[in-house]
Amino acid sequence: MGFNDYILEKKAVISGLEVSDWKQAIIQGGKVLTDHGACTEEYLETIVRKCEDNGPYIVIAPGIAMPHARPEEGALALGYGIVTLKTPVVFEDPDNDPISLLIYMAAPSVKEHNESAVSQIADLCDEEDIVESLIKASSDEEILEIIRNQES
Amino acid sequence: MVKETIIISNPTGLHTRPAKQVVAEAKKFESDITVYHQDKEANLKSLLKLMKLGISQNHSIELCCDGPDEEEALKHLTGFILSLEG
Repeated sequence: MGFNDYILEKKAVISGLEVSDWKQAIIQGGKVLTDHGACTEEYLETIVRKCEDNGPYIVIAPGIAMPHARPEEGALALGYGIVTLKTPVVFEDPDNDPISLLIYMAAPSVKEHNESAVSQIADLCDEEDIVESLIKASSDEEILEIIRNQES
Repeated sequence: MVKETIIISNPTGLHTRPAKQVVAEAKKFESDITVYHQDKEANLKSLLKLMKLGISQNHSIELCCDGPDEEEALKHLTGFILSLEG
């Protein structure tokens, strides 16, 4: 299943999440994955630890992070999620801070991880007007509507 | 313009963390750097464009450098990509 189809079918979105820092953002926003059985709690904790150890590898563009870890680090099923933050958080990535949009991903195999998931998410994040409207959306339904419109 | 074809050897391919490192290396050069994979191409200085290509282990890519420091860029980047471990 593609990124858009998954998001629409599972309604895997959280708009306006309130958090105080990037760690809380990753863990609390990660509900979009755990609620649908896509990953374990450890998967989210691993992402936080890897960011602490290696720097914010999940920050991919201005305002956008893509929280994900390796398939063997707790991915249970192919899963995606879109989370927007009420107040942007800083990841210590000067080129891209502050971050308002989190695109989650879990994939149980490297092949799925790379070839479909990453490139689909990059396609979405490369559309600046869509990213801007996602960040501005005031409800989950509004986010779903943006994705639905993109589909058609 | 200089170019070279290489096979990706690191297990996760040019996925976010390795890709981010490669983009940072590419930005050190003045030359235009383009990566070709299957029928697609991307500016190696843009993480999103690179991620869109979905480059995995064992994929073949062509690196193409064009500009004042093209020789040095090609040598450095092919070496860097081939030495990725993650």
